[in-house]
Parts: sequence; structure tokens; C-alpha cells
Amino acid sequence: MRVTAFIIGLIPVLISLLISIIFYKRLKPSWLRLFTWFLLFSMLISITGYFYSFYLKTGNHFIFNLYLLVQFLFYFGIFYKTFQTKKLKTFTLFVSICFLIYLLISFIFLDEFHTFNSLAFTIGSVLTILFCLLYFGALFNADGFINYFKIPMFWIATGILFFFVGNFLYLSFLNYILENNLDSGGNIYEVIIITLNLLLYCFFSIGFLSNQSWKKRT
Amino acid sequence: MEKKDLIFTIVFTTIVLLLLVAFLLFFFIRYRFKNNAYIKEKEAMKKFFEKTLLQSQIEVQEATLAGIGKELHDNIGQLLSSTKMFLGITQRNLPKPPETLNIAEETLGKAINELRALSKSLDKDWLEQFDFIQNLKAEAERINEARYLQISFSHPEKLFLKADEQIILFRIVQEAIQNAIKHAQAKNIQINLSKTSEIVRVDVVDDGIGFNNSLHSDGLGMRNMKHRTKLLGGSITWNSINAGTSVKIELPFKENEQ
Repeated sequence: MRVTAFIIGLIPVLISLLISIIFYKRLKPSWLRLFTWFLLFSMLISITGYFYSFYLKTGNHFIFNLYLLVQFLFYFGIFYKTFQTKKLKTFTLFVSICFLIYLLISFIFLDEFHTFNSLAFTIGSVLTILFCLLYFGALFNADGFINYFKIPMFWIATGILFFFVGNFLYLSFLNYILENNLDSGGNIYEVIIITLNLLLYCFFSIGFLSNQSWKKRT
Repeated sequence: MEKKDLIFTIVFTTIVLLLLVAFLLFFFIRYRFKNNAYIKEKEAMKKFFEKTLLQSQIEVQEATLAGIGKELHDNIGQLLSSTKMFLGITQRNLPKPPETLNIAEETLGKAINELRALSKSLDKDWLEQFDFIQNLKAEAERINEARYLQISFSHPEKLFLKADEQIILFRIVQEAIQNAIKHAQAKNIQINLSKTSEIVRVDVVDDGIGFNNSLHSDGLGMRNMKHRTKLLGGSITWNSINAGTSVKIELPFKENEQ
């Protein structure tokens, strides 16, 4: 990935991180504050991954495998906190534990730590998309007057849904694409990931800003 | 499929999937907007129905009170006046009327005055002729004359509320006064009427024994007060401690709409 593309890709996450830091104390529910740390972690991983590959001229896939683990467990955790029914909570917890076990097995026993784990990413993406749809389904069936635009999680789930729907096909075939050099220089992926990052972090930022409790009551 | 075509298929499918997600979200949001509009409409209808129902209840109550007031004035008032007249005749016919007869005649006179004032305060037509401040002042004076307790009333010069709203507010305050007299054994009641450009506020504070809010909140009197306040679109709160009770009534008020 070129330096310009790398920097452009970092700008949305940086803006989103700054917004979450500025409004850190006003983020409600309080577990939304975890996003600040997650965004900081994502940014550090992106920088580390880029410079590791840039200076050592070697694969950085193990860094992103680690990120994959944290990222999916974080999103599963967020959905676990968001779901209202015990059934959905139990399902999310069960899926998270299974996913973690699968990842650890594939990293430790199947020696898939140093190549990008396409299958794990695909499974994680499908599960995250499923959680997004379950969340929207719960919102859809909720009674009473609801203004989606004022619910932070609505924006966050929208961002996550767009990101994974847009990402999972390419990354599912990533190893195949790399082996056959189908995207020379990674130009196509650059466009995809920059666009999806922009969407994801824009929706995150709107989510942080849409919290009703920020408006001071006079 | 050629290997080179795969990357384009992936990109194309990704774009289609993203558009599909956007499309689904659009319909999802649109459905909720429609649903929200329906809920709002339903709530507005419910509020309108409740308001109409409360208005009818109050109209019935006002008519009943007016009937009682008329009966008090025309029937019992007349009977008492006749009795006073006979007492006067007896007084004049006796060479030296006993002191008790004089006291009885004087007490009867007071009772007639009280009855007239009471029947006036129950008469809706009479209420519509005067504003809230005048009515409450008269009510306070009437109670103060009995020297059982002291009511002080502070107020602005004028209260720009519609006549029917003033009547409802008057009935709420009347109930608060009655509660302070009947249940709280108060010796002093302080009524404060104030207004801003958005709110009309009435505070009725007494120095009685107070009450347990959780035990008495379902009483008929309090429920009536709540209903009446709701009808005016306002709020009512009770704050009771051992040293007395304060009732705070707040009504929305738009100066330019009155």
C-alpha cells in the first residue's frame, strides 16, 4: 500500500478517535467508551503493520491476524452488550467462545498465524453481519416511538454492516488473489478499503455525536 | 471463468451487495418513520380524547356545583333570611331581648353572608365575570374572616389565561386550600402566583402536619387536581414534610397566544 493511500486511510479513523476522545465522558451507555480504546488500537495496528512491512520488507499478516482476533471479539462484545434479550445474549456469547476457540486452534495447531487467515475473516465477517441483522431486526420489531438517528448503536451497526459486507468477499479470496497476482500492487483493494474505512468511521463518528445526552438541558 | 475476471466479479458483487444493504436500510428507516408518524398520530388522538373526556367531566362537575350554589342561594339562603327576619321581629317584640338572641341573630347574619359567598364561588357564571386573582382574593378573604386560619396571597397584577382555564386553575387551588384546612390542620397558607413568558406557576404552601405522599396519592381530591392540571397541559407536584405541605402547579403559558 502506498504512503498516500495509507495516510488517507488513517484520516477517518483519526477523526473518529478524536471525536470519541473529546466526548469520552459523555458517551452513553458507558461501554461505548471502549470504542476510544479500540480505535486507538486499530490505528496503532495499522501504523505498526504498515511500517513493519515497509522497513522489514516482509509479510505483516500475523499483525492483522492478531487484530482480526481483537476486532471480532470486540464487535461481538459490543453486540452482546446491545442485545436486550437473554436468548440473543446467550447466542452471542456462545458464538464468541466458539470463534475464539477456532481462531486459537488455527493459529496454534494449524500454523495459520503468519498467513492471512481468510477463512477466519470470512467466518468472523459473516457472524458480524448476522449480529448486525439481528440488531436491526430487534430495532425493527421494537414497540413505540423510536428515532434511529439518535441511537449511537444504530449508526455504529450501520457502519459495521457496510464495512464487512464490502470487505468480506475480497478478503475471503485474498490468499487466492495474492497467489495469482490478480490485484497487482493492491490498487483495487486500496480503493475498496479507503472507501469502506471512510464509511465505517464516518458512521462511528455520527454515532458518537448522535447521543442525546450530549445536549445540555437548559 | 478466467482468473482475471474473478477480481472484477468480486468488485462488482461487492458493489451490488453494498447497494443492497443501502437499499434495505433505506426501507428499514422509511418504515420506522411511517410507524413513528402513526404512533404520533395515535398519541395525539388519545390525548385529544382524554382532554375531551376530562373537559366533559369538569363541565358536569361545574354544572353540579352551579346547581348546588343556586340551591344554596335560592332555597337555604331564603330559609335562613326568613329565620333572621323572624328573629328580628321577636327581638323587637320583646321589651328586653336576651343576649343569646342577639348573638343568635348576629351569628345567623354571618352564616347568611358565608352562604352567599359560597354560592357565588360555586356559580360558574359568576366565576366567568371575574378573573382568577379576584376570585382567589375573595376566597381568601372569606376564609380569613372566619379567623380559623390565615391565607396570604401574592400575585402579579393580571393573569392572562382564558376564562375556562382560570376556572379550572381556581378549582385546583380551592382543593389545595381545602386539603390544608381539612387534613393538614394548617394555621397559615401562603399562595404565590407567578408567571414568566412560558409558565404560570402557583405555589400553595401550608404549615400543617404534612402527609405521606405515597399513601395519599390516590385520593379523590388529589386525583381531581391531577386531572385538572393535565387538562391544562401542566404539571402538579406535592412536597410534604413534617412542617407542612407545598403544592406546586405549573401551567404552560404563551403570552402572545392569549
